[in-house]
Amino acid sequence: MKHVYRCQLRRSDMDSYRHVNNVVYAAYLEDARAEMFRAHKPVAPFAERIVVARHRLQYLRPLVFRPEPVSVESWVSRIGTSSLTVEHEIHDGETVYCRASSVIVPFDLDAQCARPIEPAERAALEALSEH
Amino acid sequence: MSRHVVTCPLRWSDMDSAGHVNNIVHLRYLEEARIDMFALRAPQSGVPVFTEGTVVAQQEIEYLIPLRYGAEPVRVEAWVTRVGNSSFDIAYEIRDDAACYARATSTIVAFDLNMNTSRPLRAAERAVLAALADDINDRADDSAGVEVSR
Repeated sequence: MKHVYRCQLRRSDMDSYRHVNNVVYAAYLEDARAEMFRAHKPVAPFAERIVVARHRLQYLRPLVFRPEPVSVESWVSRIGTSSLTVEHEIHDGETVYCRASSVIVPFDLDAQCARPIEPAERAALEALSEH
Repeated sequence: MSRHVVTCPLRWSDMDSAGHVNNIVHLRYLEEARIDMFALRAPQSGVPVFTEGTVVAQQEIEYLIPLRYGAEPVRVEAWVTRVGNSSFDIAYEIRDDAACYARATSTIVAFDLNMNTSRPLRAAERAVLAALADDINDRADDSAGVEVSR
C-alpha cells in the first residue's frame, strides 16, 4: 500500500536559484517516512528507531515554492533481515519532481548498533509493501 | 589533478535525537564542499565559470558509520569522476584520519536559469573540471589536494 504524505512547502525551502534546494527534498522524504510509519503503526516509535543507510535521489524537475502542498508517495519495496528499502515519489498529479530510494536500518539507540526487524514490525511493513 | 579538500566544522545541532549527525545534514556538507570547490577553483582559471547556474540531477549517499558531534572538524574530499556534454559527476568522502563516515556521488547539470533548461558546459568550465579529476595515475606530487580552512 502506498502512503501519501501531503507536504507543505516553505518559501525558505528555495535557494537563490528559486528552486527548492536539493537537500530539502531529503527532509521531505524524512517527514513522509515518519508519517507513513506513524500512520500504519508498525510498532509504536519505529520512525525513531531507525537510521538511513543509503539514499538515492533523482531530481527530475525543479520544484518552485507554491502554497498548495505536493504529494510524497512512499512504499516499502524490500524487507530484509535487518534492513528495508523505501521508495518515494514527489509529485503533483501528472508532474513528478523527484524519485528516491532509501535503505533503512532498524537501530538500537541504547546499544548504538543495528538490530533485526521484529516480527510485529515485519507484519506492519508488509502492509506497506508494493513491488 | 587532485581531490578538493574542505575542512567541515560540525555543529552540535547537526545531530538528531539518535545522537548522530542527521542524514540530511550530510547532504548539506556535500553541497558546501561542492560550492567551495567551484568558488575556489573557478577564479583560478581566470574566467567566470559556473556563474550561469548548475542544478543537482541525482545524488547517491551511503552512510557508513554514524558521525557524532565533536570539536574536531571532518574533511569533505570531492573530486570529478565524469565530464559529459552538459553534466558531470562528483564523488565525495566525508572522513577524518580515523574513518570514512559517508561516500557519495552527485550528477550536476549545467543549467540556464533564464531559459529553465540544461545547457552545454563551456570550455572554461571543462578545464576547471578536468583539473578536479582525481586520477590515480597522476603524478604523486599532484595528489596532495588543496586544503581550505573555513
